[in-house]
Parts: sequence; structure tokens; C-alpha cells
Amino acid sequence: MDVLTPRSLEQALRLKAERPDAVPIQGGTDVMVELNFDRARPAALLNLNEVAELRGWSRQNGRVWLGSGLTYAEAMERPLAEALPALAEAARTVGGPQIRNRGTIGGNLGTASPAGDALPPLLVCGAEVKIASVRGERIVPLPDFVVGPKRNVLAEDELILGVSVGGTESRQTFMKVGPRNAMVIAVVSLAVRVDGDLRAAFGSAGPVPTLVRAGLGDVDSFPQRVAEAASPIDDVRGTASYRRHALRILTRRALDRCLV
Amino acid sequence: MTIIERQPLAHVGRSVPRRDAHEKLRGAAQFVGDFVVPRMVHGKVLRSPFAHARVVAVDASEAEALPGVVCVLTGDDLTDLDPYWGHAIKDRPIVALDHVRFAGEPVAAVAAEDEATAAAALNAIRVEYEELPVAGTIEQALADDAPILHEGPLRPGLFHGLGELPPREGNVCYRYRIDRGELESVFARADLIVEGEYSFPAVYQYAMETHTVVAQVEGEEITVWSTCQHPFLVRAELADLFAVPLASVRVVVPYLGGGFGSKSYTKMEPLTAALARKAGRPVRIQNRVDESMVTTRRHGMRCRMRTAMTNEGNLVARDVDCWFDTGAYADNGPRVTATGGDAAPGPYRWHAYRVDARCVYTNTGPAGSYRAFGAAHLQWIGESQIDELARRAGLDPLAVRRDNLCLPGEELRNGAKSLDADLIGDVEQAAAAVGWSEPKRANVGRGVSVGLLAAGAHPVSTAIVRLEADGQVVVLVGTTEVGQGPRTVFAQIAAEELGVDVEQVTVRGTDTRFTPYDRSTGASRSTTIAGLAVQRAARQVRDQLEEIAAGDPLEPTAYPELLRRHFGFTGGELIGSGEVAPTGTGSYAEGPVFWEVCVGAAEVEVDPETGVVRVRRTATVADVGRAINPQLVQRQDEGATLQGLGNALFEEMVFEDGQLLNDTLLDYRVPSFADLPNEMTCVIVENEDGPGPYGAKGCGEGALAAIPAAVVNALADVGVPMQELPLTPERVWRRIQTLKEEGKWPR
Repeated sequence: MDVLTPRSLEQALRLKAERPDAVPIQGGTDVMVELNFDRARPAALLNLNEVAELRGWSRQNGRVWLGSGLTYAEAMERPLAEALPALAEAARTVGGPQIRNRGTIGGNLGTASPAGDALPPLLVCGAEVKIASVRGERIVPLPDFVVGPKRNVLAEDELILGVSVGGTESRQTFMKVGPRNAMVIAVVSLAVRVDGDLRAAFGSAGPVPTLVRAGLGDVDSFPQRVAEAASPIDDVRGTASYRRHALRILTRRALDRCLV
Repeated sequence: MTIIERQPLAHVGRSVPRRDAHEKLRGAAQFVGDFVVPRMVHGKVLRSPFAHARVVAVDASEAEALPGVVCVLTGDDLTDLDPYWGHAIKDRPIVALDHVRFAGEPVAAVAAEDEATAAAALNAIRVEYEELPVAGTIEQALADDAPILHEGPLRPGLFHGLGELPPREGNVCYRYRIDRGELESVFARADLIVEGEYSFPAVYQYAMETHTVVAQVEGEEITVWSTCQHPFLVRAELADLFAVPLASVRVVVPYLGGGFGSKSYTKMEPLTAALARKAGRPVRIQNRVDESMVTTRRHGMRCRMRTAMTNEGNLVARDVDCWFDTGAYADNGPRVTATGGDAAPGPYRWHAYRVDARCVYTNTGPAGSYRAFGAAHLQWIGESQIDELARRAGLDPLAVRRDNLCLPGEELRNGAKSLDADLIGDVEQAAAAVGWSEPKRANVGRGVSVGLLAAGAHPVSTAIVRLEADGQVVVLVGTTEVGQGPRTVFAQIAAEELGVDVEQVTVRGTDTRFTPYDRSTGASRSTTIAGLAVQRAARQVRDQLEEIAAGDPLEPTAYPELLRRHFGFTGGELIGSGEVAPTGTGSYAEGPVFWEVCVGAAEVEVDPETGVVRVRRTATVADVGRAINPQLVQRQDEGATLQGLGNALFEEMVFEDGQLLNDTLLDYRVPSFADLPNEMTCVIVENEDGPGPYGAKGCGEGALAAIPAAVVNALADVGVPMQELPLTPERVWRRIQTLKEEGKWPR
């Protein structure tokens, strides 16, 4: 297996064009699991850790830009955690400190898991994913970016540069239910934001993380609408009916928290 | 109550630092996985994908032809042996011969120059299977038309230790029955009866270090470096299996990275040794986590129980049927079943009881020992029935226990050792530690639980203490340092007896070629029994010193001078040996050597809308007779408490048609620090009523039986009685929905 380590974004895009079979890797918290369990044997890895352009975050025209290399640990630090509190809360529930130091937002988007912890907070904040290749750049709204369980719209020569999110400093929160208190794949997870309208996004309760919106007058019916928007399955972690019920409860509690 | 006058002790009773702390914290401690033996090659195991199948043909020719492959072991290589092993029942071939009984059963093994080549070679082995009907659960295994996993009579293993082995009945490989009194007439006269059906899940011990073995076979000489808790029992099984003298087998055990029973008895050693025998070179096999999960686990169990009480609060009768799922091979199932049977009545003054416990073969990975086995399975059930009776009678659960618990000296089981602990005092301390009488908020509940574990600590140990010419002391004892701290405790005991500093005493790992016999490291026996052997060995050295000193004062600083006086020049050493052997007839029936106390309390808060249970406070009682190292005692109780919370709240191996669905640590979750209770109390009780050194008796398992029971009782105190573990949010929420429909929630 080849490990390709570009030193700049330009190099990275060129390498990805030349070796479309190369699997991008940042922290490796998803990719290495696949390799260690022998579920994937990629011919090459594209190590993006040395690409400075993908790192960090910044404020841009009232929105926040998150580089694809932003780690969960960085998302928990102020002032970013104050700008995007739901993302910070979600990041706190991911793995242990070692995982949070390695795992990245870009990796969560690339894997596009229905249980991806960062995705619901990004969805409620109107995230737009910026994608690039040697052919150019394009911007895809997050709901259009994830197209199925572990599937996204990336072409084989494209890389995720980062996401732009709005809704900073709005009332927002993140919750999840799992049997254990942390470091657990959620039975169901939920982000809610109240800012001119009501927005909820859930994970682990459908093939893709899903966004639900309603007007501010619909507070009472919103929990039910969120539960109905879910299409959960039965698996070893929980049944569909419990997931739907838990979503309803979490939505009501999240609204209570945001509307105080 | 007798007033105990304590002799002043220098080292015993002090929390001296662990002797292995520096080595482990620096990463310098050696584990089996660190061992490299000259000419060593790497082994990988081909495991059955089917839960039950006939093996029609195994073709390894393509794999054997791969460059770097040394050999492939299949059933055809075992024709010169009786290839069946199993310390309780000899039911298990080294590799599958013509029949696989669980998904994950070894069918062949490859030895190759490196791990990657060995792994690649597994894919080149062609196996033809013919699938058979699967008995994946206890119910399926007991059905009239169930496939029978093992034909013919069962052969007892070397260490089944259970008297006459009853004949196999279908898939029931062992049955344990005890009773007292006229059961039906006592039930007929009782005022209140609680009955129910319960289930306990299969769970995984999850030692951080997986099973790892390096084996070398040279003629009759077999050497294994192994992650095993019981080196001497592994030695005996290997000698038996390969038909060589005991002394030809050498088992070397360094530090272990956790065990909890998962490394008790024989596991991967026969397969590794057979592969090394064929390879003609040393072979190393290291399990992955998913492989260790199908190597051993805790028994799942189904139980039907009823308990009777009078209106005045006198417990009178209990009736128990239970079925332990031992998987495809017995492993330690018979002992687990018997210990569960012994734990089922609980330490109460019954007029009558009846227990019928069965050990059942199913097409799942074999189940064996796990901390507090038997008691962990049954205590939560019996204790929850007592709380339910107390609620119906309008009595305080603590008062019911106070009125019915056996007292020290009372007989617990016919012919067995009488009670050697103050259980009433213990449970009162546990209750106080979780604020038993304090007011409670809504959705907060408290529970206590009391039980005893007939740990079955076999009373056979020997130890050697060497006093070197420079005054340093070396203890040779076959106890395995699994993390529980025996090397520290034995150093304290030897230091106490010889008057030296703890730092002057060295305790190393076991090498059966040099270390004297110790029966096993389990059943909380090491401090009590091996510790007694160490104490006796050290006293023998002290006796020799006194003789040499001939009346001169025995100052440790003068030991080198005394040795010089005795041997005439610098050199030589004094050797003391200590032995522990059963008194009386030595029968297990007179056991246990001590009853391990399983007393705890918990305070929980339930979120009725989601079913999430948060454990706020726990308390456990380490009734240890004498705490030789109080800090180690507390750490034992804390570890067992956390494992108990895992067993109670979220751990469960999920099988479908015999296939384990959650065989990774992503899907099978053990407790983390975030799951710690807000308050965790360990009360140490020291009544010096144990048979070990300084009045010590075993501890470290009891909390794992007590905590699930206390949590279940605390949840029932909120109004949510549960009959199935683990208490996942969904299961608790569903129970609350049922209670709502029945008009019983909120209470």
C-alpha cells in the first residue's frame, strides 16, 4: 500500500487526480478501523495531515469556516465552542481524548455515517460543503452532500476543503441517548437550533442525518414532526420504535433548553 | 462480640505502594506478547464461519505451498493423540475433527514466518462444510427436536472437582441440585409468594490483553509462555493431552494484562502447542479481541424462581430452576452451574429450598469463569424477590434482611462450612453509605443486596522463601499477577515474618520448572491460601535464623552476618517452604474454605421518558477478615463495582443463530470513567475471621455480584421492577410503558 503525503493543497488535488483510488486520511479514526478489521484494502492512502490549508477555522462574512482538518478537540475550544455550541457539545461525546485529538470534521463528512456525530450540529447551522479538485471548486449544501448511508457526492478526484456554517451565537444544543455515558455510538442523536425558525437534525435514526424545519409557532407539534421524519431501523443498539420515541423526547427537551 | 486484641504489625495492614508500579508505569513490564523466542514463527487460526456444521473436507495444500508458510495444522495431524481436552469435561478437540459446534471454532491453524503471511494463508485453505441445524439459545437447545451437540457419554476432565459426573441428558451436560425441608408444604402455608422468570445476558470479561501463547515443542519437552491464570492446571492438561510426564511441560507466566476469569484453565495452549509440534519451531498465537470473545465469555442464564414469606416478614422457602448457557463446550460451566446453585438460596434461614441448576450446550462460543460467577447470575434475582416481598408486606427491605440473615456460625448449606461473616453488620454499613434513611427525590431509588459466593478456593498451595546471603528475600509462589496485586501482598507477608523492609522482598512470575505448585489464581484464593503458604515458608526461614542466632537478637541488618556464621563464608542461602493442604477429608463438601461476602448498596435515578438509569451512589463491603493492603482491597472493590455496573446496565453479547453480532469493542461497550457513580464507597470490614494469614479471607469478586443486585433493587424502589439484564434505556422504558398500561406507573 502506498502512502502519499502532499505538502500543499495543490499537491493534494494533483495526487488525488492521479490516484483516484487513494483513500484520504486525516486522523484515521474511521479509515484505520476499516483497515484494522480488514474490511478495506485500499491500494493507497492520501495522508492530508501535512496540508496546512485544510487546518483551523476562521470567521468569514458572518459565517464560520471550518477546515476539513478541524479536530473535535479544536471544536471544543473557545471561542469556537461559543460560536457553535451544538458542535462543541457533540464533539465532547465523541470517543476519548485521544480520538477527539485525531478525529476531524472532514473525516466525519467523508465517512458520511448515519451516526456521524458532527453532522446534526452542522445541518442545523446551514452547513455548505466546499469541495475541490484539479477541475475546480464547488459548494454543496450539506443535505445534498450526504446521499445515503456512508455515501456522499464526492467524485473520485475530489477532496473536502471544509464547511461554511451560519447560525453562530444562536440558541442551539446537542443531545444523544446511548446505554453508556460517553464514547458510544448513539442509539439516537439530535441537534436543535432556534433562530428565527425551529431546526432539528438527527443521526442514527435514518439512512442519512436529516434536517427538519418549522416555524416558531410550531413548538408544540415540532417534537412529533421530528419523530415522524425519522426512518430508523432495528439493530443491536435499539429498535426503530424506541429511536422514534427518544427523538420526540429529546426534541422537546432541546427546545426547552433553547427557548428559556 | 469478642474484643480482638491486635498484635502490632509492621507491614501488614499498610497500603504500601505496589511492587510492580514502577515497572508498569514505565512500560518496562513484560507480557507474553513481548516475548520473542529464537526461531519463533507466527500462528493464525482458521475459524468456522458456521455455528453448527459437519466438516466434510479440509484442503490445506495450496496454503502450505505459499512462500513463508511453515505448516498448516488440521485434524489429520492429531491421529497419534487423544485430541480431546477440557478440565471439567473432555469434550473439545484441539482443532475441529469432523464437526464444528460454534462460529469461531478453530478448524485449522497456520504457522508462517510472519503474521501477514499466516493471515494470507488462511484464505488459501479450502474447507467444505455441510450446515447443521443450530441450537443458538437455551430454549432451542432444550427443545424436543434440538440438534444434539455432543453424542455419547461425557468424559470427566482432570479437574472437574464435582464428584460423580451425572450422565448427559440431551444438551444438558451437568446438573446440580440441592434441597432442604418440605418445599411444597412450606409454600402452601406461606402468606406471600413472589415468582418470576428472569434472564441474565452472556457477557465478555474484556481483559485488555487478549489470549496470547508462545509454544515450543522439542521431543517430549513442551514449553509454553502463556497468558494463563492457572499455570499448574495448564501444565497438567498439556501433559495429559500430549502424553508426557508433568515435569516435561514447562509453563511460564509473566504479568497478565487482566484476566477476570477469562484466562482461567486452559484456552489457546493446546492449539498453539500442537501447531508448534508440527512446525518444529516455536509458534506464537495472539488472539484478536473478536477471537478472544469466542474463546471464553460469561454464561447467559435463564431462571425461574419463587420465594415465600410470612406476613410477619419471615422468609420461609425458595424454589429455583436455572439454566446456564455454556456454549459449545463445557469449559468451566459445571463449576459455574454448581456455584450458581449454591448462591441461589442466599444466606437466609430457610425452612425449605430447592435448587435445580443445569448447564446447557448451545452452538455459541464456550463460556467459562468470570469474576463472581454464579453469584453474579443469581443474587440479583433472589434479592429482588425479597425486596418485592418486603414491599408487599409493607416492611423495610433492610429490616427483612436483619430479621432473616444467618448469623456467624450458622449452617448455610447441609454439610457445608458455617457462616464466617457478620452479614447484618455488613449490609447496615452498605445501606448507611448510600444514605438509606435520607429523603428521596422523585425517580430516585435505593437498594441493598446480600449474598455469598462459595468461591471454591481449592486449599492447595506451596511456596518457597529464599533468604539470600545479602539479606534480600525472594518468594517463589505460583500465583499469577493479573493486576490484583499478589506480588505486593506476598512481599508484605514475607517482610512481616522476617522483619525486613518490603522493598527487600522480590516476587516474580511463575515458571513451573522452578516455582512450586499453586493450584490456581482464582476464586479469590491467593491472599488466603497462597499467602498462608508464603507465611509458613517465611516462618521456616525465621526459625532457621533463630537457631543460627542461638539467642542473639534477630536484627534484619545482621542476617548476612548470621548466614556467614552458618555457612562459614559469604554465600549460601536459607530456604523455607510452606504448604497448605486440605484438613479433614479434603472434600469439597466441607468447603468452601471461606464464604466470600457479596454485600452492596446503590442509589439510582431513572429518567422515565428515556429509560436512562444513572447510578448516583454505590457502596460495597469488603469483608476481608484482615486487609493486608487496604488500598489494594479498595481498588478490587472499585474494579468489581464498575464491572458490575457494566453487567447491570449495558453489557450484552448479542447472538443471532449462534453468530455473535457485536464482536468489536465499538459495539460491545464496557464501562468507562464517565460511567462512574457520583459517589463510590468501599467499606472495609476487618473481623479477623478468615482462614488466611492474620485472619485474612478473599475479596474482589463479591462486589460484582452485589452491585447488579443493588442496582436492580434501587430501580424497583423507584417503581420499575426488572427481570431481564442489562438495564438498557430501551428495556427500562418499555417496562415503564407496560407498567403504565397496567396502571402501576407512576406508583
